[in-house]
Amino acid sequence: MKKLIIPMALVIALLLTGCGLSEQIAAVREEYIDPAIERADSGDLSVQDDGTDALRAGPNVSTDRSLLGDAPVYEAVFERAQSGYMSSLVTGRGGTLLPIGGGLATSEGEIVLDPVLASVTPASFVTDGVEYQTQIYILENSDGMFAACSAYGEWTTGFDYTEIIAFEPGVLCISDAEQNLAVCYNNEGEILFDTSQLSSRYELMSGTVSSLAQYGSGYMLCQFTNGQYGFMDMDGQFLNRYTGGVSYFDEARPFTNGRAAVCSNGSWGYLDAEGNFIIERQYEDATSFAGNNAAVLSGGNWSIIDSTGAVRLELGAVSSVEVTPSYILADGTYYTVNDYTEAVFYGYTGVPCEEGFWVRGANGVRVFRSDGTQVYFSGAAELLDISGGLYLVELADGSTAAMDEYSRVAAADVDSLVTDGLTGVCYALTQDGQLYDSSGVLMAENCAGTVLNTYVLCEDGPMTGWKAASGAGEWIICLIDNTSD
Amino acid sequence: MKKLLPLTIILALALSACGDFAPEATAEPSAAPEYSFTEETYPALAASAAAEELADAVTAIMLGTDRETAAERVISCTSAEAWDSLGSGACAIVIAAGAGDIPDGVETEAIAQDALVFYVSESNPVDSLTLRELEDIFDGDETSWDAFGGGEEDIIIMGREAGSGSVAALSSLVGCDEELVTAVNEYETASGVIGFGFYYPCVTQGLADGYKIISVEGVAPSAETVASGEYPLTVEYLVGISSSAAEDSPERTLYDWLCGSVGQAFISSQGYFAPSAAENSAPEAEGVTE
Repeated sequence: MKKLIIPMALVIALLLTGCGLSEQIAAVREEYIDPAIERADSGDLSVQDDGTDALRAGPNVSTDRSLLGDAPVYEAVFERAQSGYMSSLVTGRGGTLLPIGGGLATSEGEIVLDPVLASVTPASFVTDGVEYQTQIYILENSDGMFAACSAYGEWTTGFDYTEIIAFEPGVLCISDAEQNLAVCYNNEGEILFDTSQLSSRYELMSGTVSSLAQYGSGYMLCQFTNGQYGFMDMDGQFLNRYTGGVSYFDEARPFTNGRAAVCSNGSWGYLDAEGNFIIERQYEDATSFAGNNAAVLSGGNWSIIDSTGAVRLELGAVSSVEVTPSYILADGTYYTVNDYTEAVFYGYTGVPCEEGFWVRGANGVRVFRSDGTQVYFSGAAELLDISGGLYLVELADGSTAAMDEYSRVAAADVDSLVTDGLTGVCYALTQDGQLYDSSGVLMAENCAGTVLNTYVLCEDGPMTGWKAASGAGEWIICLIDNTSD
Repeated sequence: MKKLLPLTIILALALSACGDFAPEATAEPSAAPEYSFTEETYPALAASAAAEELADAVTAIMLGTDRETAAERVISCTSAEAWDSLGSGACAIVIAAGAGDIPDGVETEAIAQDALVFYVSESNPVDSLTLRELEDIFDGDETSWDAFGGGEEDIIIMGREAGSGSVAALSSLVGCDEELVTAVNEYETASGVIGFGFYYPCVTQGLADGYKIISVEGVAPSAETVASGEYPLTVEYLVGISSSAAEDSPERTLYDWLCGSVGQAFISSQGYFAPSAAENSAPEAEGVTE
């Protein structure tokens, strides 16, 4: 009878805990608690060798277990392309490459590069105020050397480069700046040019190879050994070298919107991509075109000209001028880029933003876009960010929201807008880690703020990994940080 | 043996009557509690990472909150930092591994037991290492698995933060080059890796999921081998308060509860191993009843 009552009493006590332990904790119970009951059955639990009670009483403290859930149990999810250490990328495994824990994995959940990386950066570049994504990653190792690889793991370079710069053709990988040694790879991993194969490399001033990334209209800005500037194409040929046109310039700026500001004998003008002066040299200074506008200095006065060279705005003897695709700034005063008037709207001074200007009215925020259209956000107090068709606004009550251009709320309590590093699609990330698309569809929980080709980097306690935005919240790959204590 | 039956029944009844183990969490306890913690009176509690889940759970039931809310109150840190914070007065009570230095003027008692475990890649053929072999690895004397029948892969040590309880345990129980074992490589998964840590976080919580726990001296770590002492590398989680804490202070009340029968049962229910019997034989606290 005694042998029956003792374990039964303990079993009842333990069953009454009702704490719903997880599978692993249940396993511990099976290994530990059940044997403890068995020991109780044999008398081990009640009395110690020294005769004292095994368990002493404690204070009778009020407790409430009603909200105590199960302790979290973590599970890693990963495969490896090779069991041995992978210090260089294993290519050709398919899917999208996803940075994780200092290495790379595929979107199939397979690790293809061990943790040798200090950083992984999707290569993107900005042209005329718009960011464009290549399909290339820039990898940096712990020695500060760089490699480039396809975002889909199809090709990779070695960590042979001191610097890699993204530009329209792909990435410019510089191995020796002083020797002007650089290779340009496109998205497919093809070498578009290798300066070591170009005889024109010897015409370039030592240490100027990075200027080749200042690219537009098929030409790269370069500086010659005599200190002058010119434009080189991918074949190493210089603009106007064999046409009789001017090919050396005292100063030059890269091609933007089909025009390049160049200076000879103290006069600035604008070349087109054919090498012709589309706006003759006549100015004391000139900026690159941003959108349809550029600033030129003539007679000590700055003016804004359009792409035909026609003066659209006379600024006078201002000390500073900045022209962007969305605004003109001169000595602290903003002007619009479409009608060239001071940025004051209905009596409110405009605040510059990516699309033009915004002003706070009595009941909301209105955005005056550079193309002349407007967007209005009722109830908003401030425009915090714009990206990919989403507008992050602070509402009058201090909360935030992401809205589309029709003032429809995609997400509330938004922390930031997140751009997919490969597709450029923008999402709203809430303060508690939820990721919403521009339609307000919840894409992922526990988002850590990085999205690549619709895969979402997530962090949940010590777990870090990737989930498919369209998935059911399941990890594609998940590694666990087990380094504390 | 005559004491066995009544003691066990009393224990079961006490557990079921205290509220912690009631079938309905909101059921009225049969005995009125003598002490209730509030947000204002609950003592500042620091816990090492390995004991954090326990500290969160204790805090949650004391304040009637969920684990996440409770975790916001718990100071999570390494074992060394936890004990330092008690010494400096930054916290009033600590739950942490006992390995390493504990400041003077601190009163401690073991409330749970754990084990230092080692894990390797699942593709590593090594299943067991001796203490001497472990010392050779963590001292940096052996750098290839070849010496242990594990192929020609280089050994990659997954280090932990300096000041962590498991580093202190490794140092005192096995021996190691502390610089080597505190170089943190948190996401290594190659076949050459070896990591170390405590059983509860590594196995029960799953923090070493994806790896293979190996035996030491031919003994696999488990609840039974740890409890029996067969597994050679055991450590204790201690609760600590200032020796000068008043008898009726909140921190001493919590301390006594954790050391008492209800606290111990609760700790076991959370998946932690009870301390060895010798450590749990402290005199009964004065003036308290179940």
